[in-house]
Amino acid sequence: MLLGIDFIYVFEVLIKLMKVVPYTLLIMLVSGIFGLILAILILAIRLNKTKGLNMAVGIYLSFFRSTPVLIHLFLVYYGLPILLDKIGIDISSWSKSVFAVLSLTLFNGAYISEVLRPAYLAVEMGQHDAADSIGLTKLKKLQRIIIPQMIPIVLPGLGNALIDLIKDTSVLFVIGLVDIMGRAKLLIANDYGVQKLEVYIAAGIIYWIIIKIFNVIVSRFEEKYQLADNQNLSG
Amino acid sequence: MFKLNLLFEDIFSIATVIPSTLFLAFVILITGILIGGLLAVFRLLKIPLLDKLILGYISFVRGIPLIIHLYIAYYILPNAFNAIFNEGTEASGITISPVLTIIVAFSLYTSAGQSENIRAALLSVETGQIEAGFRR
Repeated sequence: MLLGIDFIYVFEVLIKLMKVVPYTLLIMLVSGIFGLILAILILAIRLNKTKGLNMAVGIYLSFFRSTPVLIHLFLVYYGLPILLDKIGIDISSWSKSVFAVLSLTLFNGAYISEVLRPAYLAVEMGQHDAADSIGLTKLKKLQRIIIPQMIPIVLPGLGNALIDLIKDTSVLFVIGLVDIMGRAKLLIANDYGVQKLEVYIAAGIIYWIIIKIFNVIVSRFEEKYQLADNQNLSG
Repeated sequence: MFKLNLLFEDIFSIATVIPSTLFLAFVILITGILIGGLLAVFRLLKIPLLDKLILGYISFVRGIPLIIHLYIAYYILPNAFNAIFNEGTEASGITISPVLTIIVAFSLYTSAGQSENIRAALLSVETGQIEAGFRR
């Protein structure tokens, strides 16, 4: 046995942990999608320089980009019920998944908005002027001129955000969520903590496989849109 | 439930550990860059088997959340020390300080990212510049 690792047990744990992978992916996808929507809202506020809101968004971005996910999770999980209780809304019966998704969404929204903003600014002003001059509406302009040019710039950043999001789900066990790490903790507790190392190695392998798969998907997308971008330039 | 004066008290008591946290981060950064630099140079030398091994290592380290690195390091380091210094014969009674565990785990985690950065930086220098450096 290398370094006292029982590889057969690692394999057994791997199969047990597989069962919670869909749940982890669900949490990740839901908070990823909400994060993207939040990021687009933030971008709209910051670009339009909406008075009052602009400053609030600035503080929000600064706070969430400079504190760890673990702290967001605790703040949302313990702080939000107290805050809403003052107004008279009782959310203490809500599922832990909601708090997890909420904290991941808040963090990811801040992260993605900083990916989208430079991409939006990278599209030349001339493109905006040209679209305006042929009389496209604001929505049509975004849909047909601006967003297609943003996609190749945005994709690597979005891919990184997605992978960071998967890694960030690994701290959700601290509020008692039974995702991959939560299940690993339970397995260790059932075993009276005899074979901790094997369980963590198995959890690591599962995260590795998930991130590997998402890496492949993201690079496929990058290839596809890079090609479309070149075609636009030559045609 | 929420008291403002408690918040300030907590801020001051937590502030006492800021220097040690920053020092730890600094040590991790330095060791991470050193290991990452070594990995980057080894990859540029293109040694057949070592190249694949380093690629696998970087992929593994970057694909796993930091917290799992920490746990694995915490439970594997005593075994590793035992295997090296006692040749694995004695029962492992070794305990390794948490600070050392953090430094080892986080340095390895940082080194994978840094090696990619350093490799990209090294590759961005034109070969002509390197050839010019060899000429006397």
